[in-house]
Formats: sequence, C-alpha cells, structure tokens
Amino acid sequence: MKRTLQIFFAAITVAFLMGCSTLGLPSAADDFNAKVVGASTTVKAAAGTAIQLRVAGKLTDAQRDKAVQACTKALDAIETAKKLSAVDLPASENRLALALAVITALQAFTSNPNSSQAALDAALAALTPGAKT
Amino acid sequence: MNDDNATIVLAAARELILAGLEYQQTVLNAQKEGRKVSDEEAAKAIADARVTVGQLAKS
Repeated sequence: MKRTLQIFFAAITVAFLMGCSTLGLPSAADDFNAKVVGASTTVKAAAGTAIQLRVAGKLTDAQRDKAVQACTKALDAIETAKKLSAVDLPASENRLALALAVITALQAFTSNPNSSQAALDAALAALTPGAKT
Repeated sequence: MNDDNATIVLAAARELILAGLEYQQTVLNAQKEGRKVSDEEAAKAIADARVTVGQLAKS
C-alpha cells in the first residue's frame, strides 16, 4: 500500500507537469520562466500538503523539519537555475531537474517517512554545493 | 484505503489542484497577452512558495 502511495505521488507530479503543456500552455522549452513558475508551484503544493498532514497529526516535528529543509533547498535551486538561465541554459535546466527530483522525493517522504528518507537525502545531496549541476 | 492513507492522498491532491490552477493563471495570462512569463512573475511564484514553506516551518 505504501508503495502504491509513492507511485501515486510520482504519477500526479508527472501528470501535473505534463498537463501544463498538454493544456496548450507555452512549452517550458521556449519559456524558462514558465518552468520556474511550474517548479515553484510544485514546491508550494508539497509544502501545503505537509502543512495539512501536520494539522492532521500525521507528520512529526522532525519530519516537518526535513520537509522544510527539502522545500528550502529546492527553492534555492530554482532561484539558482533562474539566474543561470541567462548564461547557461543546459546547466539551469539540470539544476531545475534536480530541484524537481527533491520535490518528488519529498512527496514520497510525506507519504511514507520511514522508508523514503534515504531517497530524499540522496536527492538533497545532489543539490549540495560541489555536486555536479 | 485506510483513513491515514486517504488523508495523505486527499491533502496531496488538493494542493496539486491548487498549484495547477495557480500555474495556469500565471502562464495563461501571459499567453493571452501574447508574451512569455516575466521575471517578476517567476520571482513572485518563488516568493509565494517561500511563504508557504515558512508557514510549514511554524506548523
């Protein structure tokens, strides 16, 4: 069941990102800012989900702190990608992909904190300074 | 699906729907006006997300 939940979260994230383009919205390939908006709203959704789980008493303080750390690092990466986009588009695209990987891992983490922490830590490690961008 | 899982799924679904609507509003507005999403709109999206993360930190 937990595995099903993880797949569900991954699926709805992908569906959201794909839906943005299939609805006739401008492709992120020709509008990097649209991609930034999409990534930022996905972070916001993940944080909003975590808030609701806190209210429902289903997320501990430590898990909340982990979620905050993941969201903050993802947003930092999105900002970095935004700045990089003016000078190095491939690097900025890569940075944005790393940020989305963190958010996907965070969504799995909030659905099953015990077994998904390693995946979230790995995604966060990829964002640390010195990691390949 | 038990109550715990239903809570998680419903919370995630609600937030993603809201995020989708917000994304559409920003990007569709730009499209209707025949332009790309501005730097200011992108910065606002990041700032809005940071506000929500701040609320999470205080929860």
